[in-house]
Amino acid sequence: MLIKLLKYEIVSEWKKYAVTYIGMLILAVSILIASNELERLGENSFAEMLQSLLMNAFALLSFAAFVMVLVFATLRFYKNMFRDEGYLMHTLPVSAMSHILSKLASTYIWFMLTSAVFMLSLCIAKGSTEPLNGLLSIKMYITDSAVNDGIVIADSSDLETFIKLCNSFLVKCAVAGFFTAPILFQILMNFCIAFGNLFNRHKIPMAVVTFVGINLISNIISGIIMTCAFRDAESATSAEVISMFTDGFIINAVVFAVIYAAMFCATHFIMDKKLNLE
Amino acid sequence: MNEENFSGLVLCGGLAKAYGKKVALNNVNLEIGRGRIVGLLGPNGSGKTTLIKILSGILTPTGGTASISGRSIGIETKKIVSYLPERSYIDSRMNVKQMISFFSDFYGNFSAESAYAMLSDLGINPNDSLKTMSKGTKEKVQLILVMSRKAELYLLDEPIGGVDPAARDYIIQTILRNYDENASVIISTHLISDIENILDEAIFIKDGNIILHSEVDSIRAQYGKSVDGVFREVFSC
Repeated sequence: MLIKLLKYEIVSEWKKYAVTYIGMLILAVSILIASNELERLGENSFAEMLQSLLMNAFALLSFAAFVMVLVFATLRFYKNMFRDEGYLMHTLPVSAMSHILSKLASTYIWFMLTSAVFMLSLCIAKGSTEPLNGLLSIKMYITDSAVNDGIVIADSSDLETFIKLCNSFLVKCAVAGFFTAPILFQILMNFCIAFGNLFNRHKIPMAVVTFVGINLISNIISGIIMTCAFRDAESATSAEVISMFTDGFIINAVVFAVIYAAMFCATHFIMDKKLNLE
Repeated sequence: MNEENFSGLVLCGGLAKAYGKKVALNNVNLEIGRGRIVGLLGPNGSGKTTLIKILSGILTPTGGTASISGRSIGIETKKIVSYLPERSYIDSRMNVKQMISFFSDFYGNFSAESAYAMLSDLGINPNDSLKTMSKGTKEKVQLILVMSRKAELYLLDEPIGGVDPAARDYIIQTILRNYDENASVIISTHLISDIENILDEAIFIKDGNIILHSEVDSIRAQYGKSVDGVFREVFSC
């Protein structure tokens, strides 16, 4: 049933995304043509302006495409589960877990597909595979043995090693964030919507209040953890500072993993045991 | 009656639902057997839709129990209950054909042939987009989808409210044609005179309480008037 649900999730949304993807690809081709023309014509203010306009439009559309995935996923969950369409979806012989997982999987698929189209568009606009090489350098940051070797000499005041280690860790965090962000965002939004639905009135305002409240609490918890982690930072060596940052980040990650798991379970509980489509 | 000894279809014991301080259903005890067409009758806000929603599994009761065919409301009962809500629940981005495919995918007891036959009877093109359909046509499509299932219990919330009288007759005939002796139909409506002749039982519900549940013939004999007449008398303002 999960696969069937996922199939309908994709079928229901593909047209919206297809339009955006086509737009991104058309802009990428236009940028490539404008760049070639600019190269051919030499200095030409009109061609430069056109290229700049196209690049801005591409950047804007690409940003919008990523935001769109998250906005559409949230609206889809709300409309499909708690508005009129919910009257059909919740009378299907399907578990609440399947509903939630199909929505999460669909968000993830669209997010990754948007990323792939973005990379493809970049390559087209550039007229080369250079942007892909950039991705390979990220891989190098994560696995590069040179950086790992740096740990051995991290106690020294070697600034370059320190920066390398910081960069390596931050790149790892960014990569982890990229792969988990769409799922975590939707778990949060799903919970807020489901929680808001528990109230007899003002369901949407209550969902918004829940969202603000959770973010506020998350920031406070994160702040406390990082403050505790860096309490002895003043007298610490470079290696110790990196260790503090890593420890603080890992504790944060574990705490937030628990919070998000709790939100996931709570959403499931509400949809399974406390459903109220009024 | 004890759930274990009950051989009928629907059993509710002390069923209650409150929205905050407002009581929508109050200690409802109900038994419905198989092969019955039951009219759920009451004024607006009496609790008809609440009862139907609880049986369909989209509303959680605040008290009491409800079971269908001996099973508590859940995935198993959703397989045997075909529910028509009073509003449009279909994804308007789809066309009728896609909705039929959707129902075929999720309901093992759905008959696509039956659905296409009914669409043809009502002159609805399966390739038409739901977005461009009138409210009445959408309601007909929904009813066709719901009645194309070989369910054990059909829950129809105001099935004839928004359609023209000619379509109303077709809908009533469709209901009669599609159910069998193992299935029951619960119809909630205000248009009692239109369906009175097909009802086996009538349930009068007022302020969340069942005030009358009897065979239609018994009601007529007892009150000396039609069910519609009794309804007007009981619920006169």
